[in-house]
Amino acid sequence: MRLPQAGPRAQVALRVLRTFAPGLIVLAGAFVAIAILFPLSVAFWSAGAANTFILFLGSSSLGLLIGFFVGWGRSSGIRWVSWPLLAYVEGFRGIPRIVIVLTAVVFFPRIGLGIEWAVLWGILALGVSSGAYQAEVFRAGFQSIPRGQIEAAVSVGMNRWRSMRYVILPQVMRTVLPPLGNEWIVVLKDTSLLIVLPGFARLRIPDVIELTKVAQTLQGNTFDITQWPIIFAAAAAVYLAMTLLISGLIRFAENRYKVPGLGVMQA
Amino acid sequence: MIEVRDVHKWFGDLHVIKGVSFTVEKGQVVVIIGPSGSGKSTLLRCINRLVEPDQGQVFVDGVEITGVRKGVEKLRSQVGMVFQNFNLFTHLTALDNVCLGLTKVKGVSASRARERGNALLEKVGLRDRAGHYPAQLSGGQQQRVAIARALAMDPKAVLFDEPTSALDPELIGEVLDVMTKLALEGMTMVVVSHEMGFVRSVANRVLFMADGAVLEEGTPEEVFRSPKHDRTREFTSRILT
Repeated sequence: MRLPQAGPRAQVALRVLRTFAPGLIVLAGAFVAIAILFPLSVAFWSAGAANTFILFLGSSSLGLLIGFFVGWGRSSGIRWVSWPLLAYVEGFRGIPRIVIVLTAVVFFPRIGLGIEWAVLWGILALGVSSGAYQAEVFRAGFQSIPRGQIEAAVSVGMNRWRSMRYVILPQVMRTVLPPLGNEWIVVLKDTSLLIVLPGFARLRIPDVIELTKVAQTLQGNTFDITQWPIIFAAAAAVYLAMTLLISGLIRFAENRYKVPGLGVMQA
Repeated sequence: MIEVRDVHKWFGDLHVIKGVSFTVEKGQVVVIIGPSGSGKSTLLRCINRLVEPDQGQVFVDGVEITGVRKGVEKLRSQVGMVFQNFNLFTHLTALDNVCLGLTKVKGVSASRARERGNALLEKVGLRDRAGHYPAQLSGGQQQRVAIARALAMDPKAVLFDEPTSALDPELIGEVLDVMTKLALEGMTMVVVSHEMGFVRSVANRVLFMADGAVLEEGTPEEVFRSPKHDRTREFTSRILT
């Protein structure tokens, strides 16, 4: 769709719309279907979707933060920094996420974070796990920057912070965005592991139940077995919509960091 | 303008710079030649502390830059650097490459920086390539942008680390032309290069380095016509033919 004389503002709006359109369409479609098929539980579904999104946002951002600094530290070449970080990465990459989540469930209440903090347990468990993967993504990003870029940056008088901010980071972003998108999508889907959080089940407050728990609860509440696959298909559609939105976000950011003429393949 | 006093550098056990001293007067062009591995690049990098000398002193415009802990960045920006591999910021246009130091280090406004950047690109003959990214420029063009970037900070001197070694032969001329122009304008320059035409016509002095030490120093005439050391003679005869 191309408007004859779209201003820069309108062009940006159009690009945003085009980037997020697939996700928004699937999301709208999923909720229209839910409204038709399960008219009584629309609010329940919406709460589940919103909670899943919040859990995703919390844990992927935590993972991003950890990943950035750990990846940076790992590529620093300083041994006493690098080794403990390596232990963290290898340790958490080597444990199944469900085991990490279950450990969190039995561990956090012991240190004073009661059941009312169940959402935080989930975010910490997934965030710390995801951080290990995102760290490797950032390490790859940092290591792809030639030394000469830093030398050039400091030669025009930049300090460490400025060369990081204006020279290294924009170039790191370009390489890390596609794999980061991968990891974020995995984290979104893995919020479904938080179905085991007892807080969600026991508190019986719809606000803290994530999407898979919503689907499972509805399935358990009906004896009409023809409904069961439909219930899970609806949940699947909502997950799909959200992953498409994440892909859109990544594509949007990729566009911002695109460098004309650089790279063999122009996506 | 630049004074290097008894500078030493070790990489582990390797003694790469063995007590080098020399001075460069304001407006002079000094060229460092010597076989690869002789420490030319390392010496050059000691002058703006890209490499930290282990011993000795470096003065720029009367101010000692070795030993300074705080504000190295500011001192460093007084000496421009042009690299063998250009090292342009790949994510920025030619113009933004030139302007980045102005806006982010010197705090010059974007419009003033752009003005200055365009003027510098004009000077290196690339005014029409301002909007191009490094990957869209030839090696010679990239190196000219890199020179403009170094000049943007109004340096007191510019260091050139084999500026034409990574270039195709037909692109070397355009870079040397810019460097020659710069020298004629009175820029203080320290150049590591084996471009004999340039050395002969532009250099005030030539240093011959071997094994981390300056073996011979003099005008191009002296060093090329009547070298005192066998090593120098051997080396110059090889690059002159």
